[in-house]
Amino acid sequence: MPDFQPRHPAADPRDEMFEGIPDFGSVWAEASDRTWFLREDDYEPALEHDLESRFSVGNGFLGIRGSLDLPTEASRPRTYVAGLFGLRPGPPALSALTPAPQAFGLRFSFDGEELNIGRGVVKEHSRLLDYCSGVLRSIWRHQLPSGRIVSLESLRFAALAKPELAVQLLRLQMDAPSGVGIFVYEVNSSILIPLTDASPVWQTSDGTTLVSCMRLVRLQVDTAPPSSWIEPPGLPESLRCAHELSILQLTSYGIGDEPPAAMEQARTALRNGRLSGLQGLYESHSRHWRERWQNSDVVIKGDEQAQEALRFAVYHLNSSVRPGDPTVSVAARGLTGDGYLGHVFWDTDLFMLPFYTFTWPAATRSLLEYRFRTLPAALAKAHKLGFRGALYAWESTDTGEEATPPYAIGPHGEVIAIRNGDLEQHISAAVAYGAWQYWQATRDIPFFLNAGAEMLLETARFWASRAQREKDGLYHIRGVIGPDEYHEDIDDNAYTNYMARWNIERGLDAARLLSRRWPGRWQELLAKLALSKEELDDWRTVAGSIYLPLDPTSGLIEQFSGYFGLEDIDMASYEARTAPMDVLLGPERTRRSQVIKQADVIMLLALLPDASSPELSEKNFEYYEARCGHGSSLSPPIHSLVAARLGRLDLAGRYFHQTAAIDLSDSMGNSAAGLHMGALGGLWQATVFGFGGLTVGERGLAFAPHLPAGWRRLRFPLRWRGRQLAVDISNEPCQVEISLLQGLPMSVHVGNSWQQLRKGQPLTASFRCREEGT
Amino acid sequence: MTRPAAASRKVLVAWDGSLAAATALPVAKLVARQLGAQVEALYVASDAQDREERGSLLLREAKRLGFGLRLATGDAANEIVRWTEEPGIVLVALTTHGRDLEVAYRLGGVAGRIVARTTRPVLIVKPESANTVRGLKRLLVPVDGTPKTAAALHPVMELAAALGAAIDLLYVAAPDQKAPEERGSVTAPRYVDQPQHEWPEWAAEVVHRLATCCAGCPEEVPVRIFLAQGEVGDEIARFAMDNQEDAIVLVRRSRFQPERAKVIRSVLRQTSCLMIIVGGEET
Repeated sequence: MPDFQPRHPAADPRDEMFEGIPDFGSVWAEASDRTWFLREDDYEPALEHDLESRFSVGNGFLGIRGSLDLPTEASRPRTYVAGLFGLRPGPPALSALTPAPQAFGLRFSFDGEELNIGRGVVKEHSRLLDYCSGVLRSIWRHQLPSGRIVSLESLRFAALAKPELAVQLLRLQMDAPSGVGIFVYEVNSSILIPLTDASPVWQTSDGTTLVSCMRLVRLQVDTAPPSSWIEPPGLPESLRCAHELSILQLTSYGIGDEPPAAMEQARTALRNGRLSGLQGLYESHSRHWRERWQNSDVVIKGDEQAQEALRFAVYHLNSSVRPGDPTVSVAARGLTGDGYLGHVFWDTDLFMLPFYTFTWPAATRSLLEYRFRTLPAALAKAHKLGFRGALYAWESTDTGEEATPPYAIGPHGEVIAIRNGDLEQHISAAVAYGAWQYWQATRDIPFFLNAGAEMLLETARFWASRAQREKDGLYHIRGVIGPDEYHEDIDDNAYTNYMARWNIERGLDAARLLSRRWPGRWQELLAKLALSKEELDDWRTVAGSIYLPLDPTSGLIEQFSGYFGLEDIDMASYEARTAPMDVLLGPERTRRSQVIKQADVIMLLALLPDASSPELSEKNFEYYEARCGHGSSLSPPIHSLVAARLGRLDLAGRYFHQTAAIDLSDSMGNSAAGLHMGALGGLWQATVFGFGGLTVGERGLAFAPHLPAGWRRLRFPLRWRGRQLAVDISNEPCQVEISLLQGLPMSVHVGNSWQQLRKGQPLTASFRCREEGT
Repeated sequence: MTRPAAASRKVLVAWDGSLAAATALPVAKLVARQLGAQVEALYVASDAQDREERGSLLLREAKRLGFGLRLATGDAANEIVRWTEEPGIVLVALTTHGRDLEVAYRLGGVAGRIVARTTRPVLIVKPESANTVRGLKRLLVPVDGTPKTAAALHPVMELAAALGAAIDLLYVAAPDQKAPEERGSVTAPRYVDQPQHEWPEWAAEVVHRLATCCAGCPEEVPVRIFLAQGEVGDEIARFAMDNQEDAIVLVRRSRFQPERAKVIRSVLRQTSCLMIIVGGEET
């Protein structure tokens, strides 16, 4: 049998349904540039879950895993709708992101023979995620068990311009005329319950949230004119095709507490999608993506792997948020997998938020509004534990109530107490840090007055009540878990105490600012929060007397009380390991050792670079880096950032690539459950704050770049208080150029001095090309 | 391997006539009953005289014990391997040693050659502990995380389905373990300190990837995954004893040359548990 080669769509001028869609062949021809495309040319069932995460498409409202167009038992196809939380049966029962009805679910047979990648011979299979346009394409040529050849080309996207809408185009081509059977499979999520038999609405298992899902399909058989729009139950069961069948599918979603509202949202989106047509949808989607890239693309010359990693990170970060919806945030795995049950952690506030703040402030505002919306739950949690102010949930879902389970069932059926929900309290400082940085970067007064200030005050209040004065006259915070989760129920965690002081100081800053500039609003807040002058004085006392564990002799910050007395294990002897240190040492010995899970004191150095001198930072980095097991995906990017700031460029580069490999190479073996959104945000921070040398202060932006060996150039855009900037750093010669593309003149610290930056007058400064260890 | 219908399944026992080797017979009968299979023993005589004298004796003994005995003549290992490939053979039972006792490896010369060459799963019985065998309800299957090793487990998964047995996968993390280069391999979970998230996700993924995708484990076989830390052979033996596993399943990646098959030798030395050895891609 001669090998059948399909023709490419859009090659036929009669093909009106697909007009305006880039030709499959031409897209594939361009796809050799791995910095703009993610490509996979094999089909290996064992890798499917991992690839599905990587090839996800999303728009912040919808997330669709990059599963095969016709999934198999090896697949874990999922469509997520942000905010669709339901109760996952226990024990313990937990609030979890519930998969929505699948966006796409058609299957095909040819003269009765089903097209299934698991049956027959795969002649060709490629997937291609185009970062630039946010479109996932695939080509699949398959020999059915009967010997006949069928090809399927597809594209899909979650419309960035119309977030409730998912679009899929399929083109089937066959080597001989066939009776093509079309059937719909697993349209509905098995975890959702249909509200009624007749309405396209489902509810979560606990009945708290509703989702509506509607579909329309158009068919084109060979060169006949396309059909009108059909709702899937009305699809013909079989069609006679000479060579080709094309299918365009639009799927829309709505979410809410009441069926009419959810249905109306879905219906409106579907109607708009139908009116726009494929071309209109594709063009508006691509245009929105181009705009996103203009505001966020980081260009690296000289290190293609690094460039590839950054585009991957920026693509997924841009796919994960939908400005304007304060009811949802970005979960630890975004909308790319079931991992971490769709829960929101500090990953969002400290690891992802800076990317959005400096490239897409509207996104940050939404994410902070989510924290403001969940402030009542944070107040209630603090109150329940006997404190004042706001203690945010370590794991948060739609209500902001603590979603960390109190226990888990271990592999041997044993009950394991989970204490993070009660003890990992540094989350409140993380929320405050994100809010303050947003204020610094945007001067968004309405947000500050209506939400930001209150968050800063209530988190500050929490820390002031949490720290207790002891006999030494100092305030201590006992019984917490720091970022290093290997050590539980510890006293005076340096990170927590420093961040608590910082948080209280920012609360006092907010109070000062409000009283001076917006006294009316200040009076309102004083009344609303029942805040007195005496209480503010107490905050000052606590901030001034909180115990900060710095050993003046060694210059080392002790991670927590008693840490230096723990067993010091030589991590070098475990260098070849593939398992985390707590697995190798066992939990008990790990607790009794100085081995740490992730950046803790080093996290402090990253967030508060002014907390210690460069010399002390270097000492502390040296000490703790040698003891870190990197048992968290959040650890390597922070090490990269701090190492870069310290001029340890080889090391920073190694940590950068270690971060990149977490999802691009599944180096931690857990990308199947979704991408590590915090690590992706951390990669951007390592680049911009680390190698780009950006620090943010009250006066403005300061740059002290350090490019690693091999990076000839680094360019990135920044948003700052309504302005658009472009930063261009080169290594040959070592020079930084900062341009103001849009907005009023501003001060920038570069080349050891503050300088005025004006539109059309870029600032250029040289910097010392630093070598490793200097 | 297509699963043979119960009626045509056979468990083949290699019997050299020794008392030690005879201990495999009741074990084989127990397993065969679980499988709904017949037991067939095979005696390979060294020559015609041996076949005439010893063969006749063993035929009478087999009849007395209630199982069928086939006779063959020639090189014992070659003949047994040839017979193991007969249709319907789902399991081959051997004792670690019989007449040609080889205590050092606890896997006799003939037994070693059979295990090294047959494509069928081989059940290894230690004569001294044969009378403690209670059947095959729980199989401990250590995995190294690679798809190729997992793929070699397919016959065992089919066997487990036929036995109605459950599978306990065990991944052992060792301090000096290098990451497998093979694409699709899995390593230990990263954050066991957050058992509410990472453990269940890792466990589900490993079961899916290794048991379902690679080993083609039938849906009806219950599969669990466990994690241990330490020297691989020690941990497998310890885990099997602690958890009262009925058999340990190991994938052979070599032909038992000196300095190879260290894990199999280590487990054999340390445990009295039954072992099932399947052939994998040799390295």
